[in-house]
Amino acid sequence: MDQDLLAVFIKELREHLENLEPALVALAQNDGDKTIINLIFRSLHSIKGAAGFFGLEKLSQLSHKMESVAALIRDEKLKVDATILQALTAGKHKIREMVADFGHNKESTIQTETAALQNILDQSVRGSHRDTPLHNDNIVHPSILPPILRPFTLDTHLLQNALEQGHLFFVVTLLTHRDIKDKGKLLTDYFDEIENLGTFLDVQLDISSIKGLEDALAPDLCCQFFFSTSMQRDFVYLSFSVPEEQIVEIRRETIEKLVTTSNIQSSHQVPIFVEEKQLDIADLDEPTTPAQFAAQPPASTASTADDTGTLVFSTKILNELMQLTSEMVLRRNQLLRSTFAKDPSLSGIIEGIDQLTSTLREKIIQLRLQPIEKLFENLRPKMHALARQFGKNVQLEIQPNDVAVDQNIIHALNEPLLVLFQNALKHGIETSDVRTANGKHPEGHIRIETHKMNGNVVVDFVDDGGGVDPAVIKNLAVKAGIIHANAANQMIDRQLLDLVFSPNFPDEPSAFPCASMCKVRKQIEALGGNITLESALGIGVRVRIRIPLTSAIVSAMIVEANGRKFAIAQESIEEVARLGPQCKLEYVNTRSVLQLRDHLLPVVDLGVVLSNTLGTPPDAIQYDLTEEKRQKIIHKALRPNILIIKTPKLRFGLLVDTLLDSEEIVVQHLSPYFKPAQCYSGMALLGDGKVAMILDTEGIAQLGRCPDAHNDTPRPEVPHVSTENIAPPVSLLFVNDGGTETFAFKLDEISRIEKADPSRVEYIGDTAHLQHEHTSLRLISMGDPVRKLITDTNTFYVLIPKMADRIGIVAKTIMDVSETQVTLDTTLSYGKNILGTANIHGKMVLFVNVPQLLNDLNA
Amino acid sequence: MRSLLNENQLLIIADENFISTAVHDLRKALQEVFNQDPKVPVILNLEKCLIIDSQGLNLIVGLYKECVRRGLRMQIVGASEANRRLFSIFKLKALFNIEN
Repeated sequence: MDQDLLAVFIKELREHLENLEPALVALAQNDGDKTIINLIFRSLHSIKGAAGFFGLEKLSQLSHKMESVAALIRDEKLKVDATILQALTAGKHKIREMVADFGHNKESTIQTETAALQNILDQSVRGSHRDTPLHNDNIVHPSILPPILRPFTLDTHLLQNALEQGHLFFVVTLLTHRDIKDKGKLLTDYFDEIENLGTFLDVQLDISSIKGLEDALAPDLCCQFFFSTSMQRDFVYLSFSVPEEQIVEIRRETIEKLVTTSNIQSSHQVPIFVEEKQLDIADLDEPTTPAQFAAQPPASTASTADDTGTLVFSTKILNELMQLTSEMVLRRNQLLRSTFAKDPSLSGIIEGIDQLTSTLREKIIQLRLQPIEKLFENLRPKMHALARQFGKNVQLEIQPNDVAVDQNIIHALNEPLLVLFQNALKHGIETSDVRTANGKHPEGHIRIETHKMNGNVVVDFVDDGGGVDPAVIKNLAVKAGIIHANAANQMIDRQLLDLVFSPNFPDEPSAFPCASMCKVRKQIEALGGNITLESALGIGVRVRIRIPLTSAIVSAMIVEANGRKFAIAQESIEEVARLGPQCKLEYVNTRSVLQLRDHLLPVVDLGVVLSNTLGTPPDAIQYDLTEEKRQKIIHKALRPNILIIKTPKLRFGLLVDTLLDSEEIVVQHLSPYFKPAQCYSGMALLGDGKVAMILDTEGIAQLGRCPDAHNDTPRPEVPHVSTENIAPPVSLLFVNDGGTETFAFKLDEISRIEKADPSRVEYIGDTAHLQHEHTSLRLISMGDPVRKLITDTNTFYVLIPKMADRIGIVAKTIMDVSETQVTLDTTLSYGKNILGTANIHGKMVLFVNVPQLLNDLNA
Repeated sequence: MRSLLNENQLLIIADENFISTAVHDLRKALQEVFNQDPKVPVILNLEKCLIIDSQGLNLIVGLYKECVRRGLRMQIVGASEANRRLFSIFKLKALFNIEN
């Protein structure tokens, strides 16, 4: 059969069916209108003719019978009644089914429909056909049917029982690969779960897209099932792993009316017609319902243009275009790196290809990208409805930050965010009374913020509720047998909190509803992403979702460390720095830092952090520069390249061996093998054919133990305080304790400064005591042990604070005393004994927190 | 997968699950069987097939369509309770001539 001709035929059939449906309804209301019956007759005649041409015998037979009945009506030999309308409508349904399933045409059973039509024709000939009232109690009158109908065969007993149990009714559309297999579920398990949620009424599976063994595997079969449940609408959306658009609620009134109208015997099977929600063709890669499948243009005409000039086309084509563009980018990169490109006569052409490829990929990406605001437009009303349902007073703050993402991500995030929101309402946000009693604002606050990072979409879900207690999680996990008590005792808070994602974690009111959290994690991981939970008890919870921009092309810097190549997304790189007067490597409080102009930044050596392996014992993990490397840098024997990386949490300097190139890379999913390594976010094939891992800058910061990057007790709602003024001007004492750091004390906290001789120091255990004016001063230091500080010196200084005159703080050198107005930078933490840092006369100075120093001593 | 073709029937015995990791090999084997151009009813024995995932279902439907295209009757026998239920859910029992 000529496929192009067949495609045209199917298209025409659909048009005739579109004419038939309203015409039959109109006929029921006005059977004397010649225009209507003529339209019906012409449509059926055309269907019959075309079906005969293509050898579709059953379709031809059925349409012929219908045409004959229509002809009798047209010739006023037959008066329209309910039986005739029912027979014509049933015939129309059958034609629609046959159109939707051409592969089955020969097997289609038209016996019932043709028998009913033949009966009408026979009675007409015998003159025995009698008028029956239009409003027959046993049938569904066509005029009450919605415009788009889908027949399900249902047992009225089940319908009646469901109604009596107060069930709601839903039609769910599924793609068996995408919605079931790709989410790691077996078909049987999936339907078992459905049965646990409600009553399974009927299923329709569309197998028309499979023609034989050759094309058997590719099609994502579409099935619709009709079920009833006592769950409320919102919970139904949450329970099924399908986009909301694939679930349509059927009003109870419709079912009640149907059961009443049908007035049938208990064992009677009746056709039921449900209203379909029209899906946006751009929402799904494949046709989602048999009706849509039938309603869509054939594959050869996959796009349609409307009168406004807008082109609507299948996302399948878009996906293919994206794939081809990705391939083209790879080939372009290979071309640019080849020796061929060095030929001067070809440079102009190659540059042109380079530019055209970049422009093409940008346009293709634009086609796929949608503002994430679209997701929130959909979520906002549902979230407000949920908040009302839970009786919680919550302010919802959404910050999309102009993030545009692939439309698949918009669909994928819909359900997880609703689950998180529901959890926050159910378990996190306290009631107004409790909040007020706890000193919180009576109105809860939930913030959802999105941003892009390292080729990922990051969604932060933050609530200011009561938080999750790691100790509670630990006890529940041990009790549920998820983890052994000994192992749980070894875990840090973050690891304990991660247990809420365990499949068997109990859903305790005091913890998270973990069955849902497990499901959310699975959904996110199915997209190649990850989800983490951080909590501060009494302050709130932050859930971070990261989803890679699958197949996205991002601009990246290619760097080398330890002889291997890595890619870093350009959007994470704030600047590239070289060591010099404006960018110095300092050593502060036992670790290297970078002084970049007026700021101190933590610094991470990529080679060092990547040399640690997953099995490295915690105390052996290297995170700072090696002393040898540091000395080389200080003495300018080595001039490393430093990338200033900016993440939502912090800025830090990343030392790499070599900066290679800037390249557009195609981001690929990370293999599950690499998932435990937090330093990678994806992988890419470079132009030279080598694979480069894409660095996860936040993960690198954590591995490098950057302050604020590895904090186990997050501060979800505590804003970062960037600077704090010390009351200006202030008298400061600058000292040095033998290292490279300069410490500053507020002079009004120091009562006096004494010069001391190491020979007068006595040691009791690890503590040092200075004999001074018939008393003993306990000596303490800011960094190294006192014994080490004063070993190689003849004299040292002791600063005696006003708050404790029996304590002496050891300093090796008094550097200066001055009255200065300073701006203290508290962005980074250098331990609780340091208030912050300030740049004074071009030198970074650490401000000592004297009260804290003394408190620690007392403790 | 094994197959036995005689003058009365083509018996296909599945020795493995119809799941995504196996379907490509299974399809290849089935195509080889059909290269013999059988003209007899096809019987698929699923006694040893415990799991059918969505791709496995695709393959079975593909086998059925292949039979229909060639004018052959297809029947599934030996299906486990779970698989029978799966076919029942999708209303495929009659299509595959699965006996109660």
